[in-house]
Amino acid sequence: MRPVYKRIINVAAVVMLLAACVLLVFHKPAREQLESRISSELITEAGKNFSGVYYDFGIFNITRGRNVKTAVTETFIGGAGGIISVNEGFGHYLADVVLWLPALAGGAQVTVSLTICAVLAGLFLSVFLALGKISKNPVISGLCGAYIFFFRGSPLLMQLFFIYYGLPVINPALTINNKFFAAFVAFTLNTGAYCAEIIRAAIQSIDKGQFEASRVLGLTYGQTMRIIIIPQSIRRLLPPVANEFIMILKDASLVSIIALADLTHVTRSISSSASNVMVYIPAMIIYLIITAFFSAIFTNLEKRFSIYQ
Amino acid sequence: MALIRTENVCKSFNDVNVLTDINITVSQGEVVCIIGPSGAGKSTFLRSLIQLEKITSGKIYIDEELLLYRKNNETIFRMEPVKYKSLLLEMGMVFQSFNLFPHKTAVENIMLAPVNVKKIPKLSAEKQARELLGRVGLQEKADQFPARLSGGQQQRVAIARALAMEPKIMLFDEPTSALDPELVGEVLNVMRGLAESGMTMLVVTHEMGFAREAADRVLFMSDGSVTEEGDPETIFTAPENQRTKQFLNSILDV
Repeated sequence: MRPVYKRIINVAAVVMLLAACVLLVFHKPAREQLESRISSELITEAGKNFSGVYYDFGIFNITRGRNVKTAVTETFIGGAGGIISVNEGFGHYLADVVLWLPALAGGAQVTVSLTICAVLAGLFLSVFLALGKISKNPVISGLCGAYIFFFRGSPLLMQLFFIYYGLPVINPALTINNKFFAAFVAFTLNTGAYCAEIIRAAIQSIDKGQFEASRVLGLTYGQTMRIIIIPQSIRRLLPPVANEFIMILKDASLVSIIALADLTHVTRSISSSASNVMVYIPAMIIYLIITAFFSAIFTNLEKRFSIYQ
Repeated sequence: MALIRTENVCKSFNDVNVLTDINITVSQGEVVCIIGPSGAGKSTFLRSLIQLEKITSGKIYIDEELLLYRKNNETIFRMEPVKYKSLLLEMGMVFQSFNLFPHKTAVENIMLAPVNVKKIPKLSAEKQARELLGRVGLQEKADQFPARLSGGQQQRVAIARALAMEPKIMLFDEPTSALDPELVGEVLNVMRGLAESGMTMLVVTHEMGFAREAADRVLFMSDGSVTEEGDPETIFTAPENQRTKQFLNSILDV
């Protein structure tokens, strides 16, 4: 009985929330109405220096007039049938945060997509590097070892800088014009080296008996790796890969050096253009939310891969 | 017909001789038990037969065909790869530590090699696997993961897994040594059944009762060589070699 009862309450709560949202959407002031509240003194005084912004956040909207020269601003929030003026104090800061959000969200999108793409591609690359490093062929194992040594041993910032600015100097054919793609290449090559060590350790932590049993049954080396060893090592490599993912998420802030607009870059430019360092607070909170979200995903994956234990 | 024959098989790890001149023959349908103190090289010998260890010198014949001939740590002759693999697959092996694949259920463990090595269709492999599980008395555990099975049940699944490749010879490397005493019986029963069905078996064991009653022949190994060989009655009641006497005394006293 109890779960059903709980479910009804949940459904009712969601329905009420949706209804409240719909009501709010229809009861926010029109854009013209909101913008007309900005005083004509500000507009005339600012003249060419006037800048106005308007954002519609669905259930409420917000507008701000600003004299860029004197930094005098007037901010109005509209919603639930009324308009309030927030020109100072915490309300003003909240309005600031809300106005920064679209730009911050754009930056976060770059950060997250760069991290996901680089870690996925890096993992793919690292499987081959790890197998190469434990290979009995000294040439293959030496090459893979050297690769890992280089990419783990030198700063990611320099690697990124060199791939974007240095490669075209060596040979113009190596020019990467798309900043996102250049960052993707650098991060993939770098995280590939780290993940290779994670995978190598996970593979080597699998009991030798598993290799022996596979061999005695006639499985080839490739089959043993694909069917027996790698599936078992996935559970063991998930925690360190989650760690690496979060490191990359934060290291993604290095892309500022090639002026790619990630979350950190956007935050810094807002901070300097609005001369308000408080933008770092919502930016860091966004980082925390992203990290928490992906940690939860990795925890979930780990559970799913440990069903057999 | 001799299914396994070895000639002067020697093995050393960095100048320590682990096996010295092992010459044995196992004929079709024969059950041979290898007994002896720890460190005598029993397991190493079994593992050398199935090529989990590289021998230093000697000849190994499987099914009357020369599989490998090595001398002074160098391969003089080795059967061409396809035949080599098929000869090795004539031997099935059961390990002391079971070595089941923990991420696969019992039935998947058994089907895995037939499907991937012999390329048998999944459906018929599964049917065969379930039959084999029936044979070792574990039909109802087919869809359990190894971690959910007791040691004895895991070892029975491991036996079924080896049988699924339809080997002519089964090698058992101390199959009951890692088991709780009360679980030993179920595994030995399966092995006894296998022996009665005519399977050729080479068993390294510390279960003297099993060796005495199920073996056709017993080999006593100590310090890397076979020091006594004979039918179980003779070995257990009237051993000739001093080392054998000592070993049996110390074991049977307990």
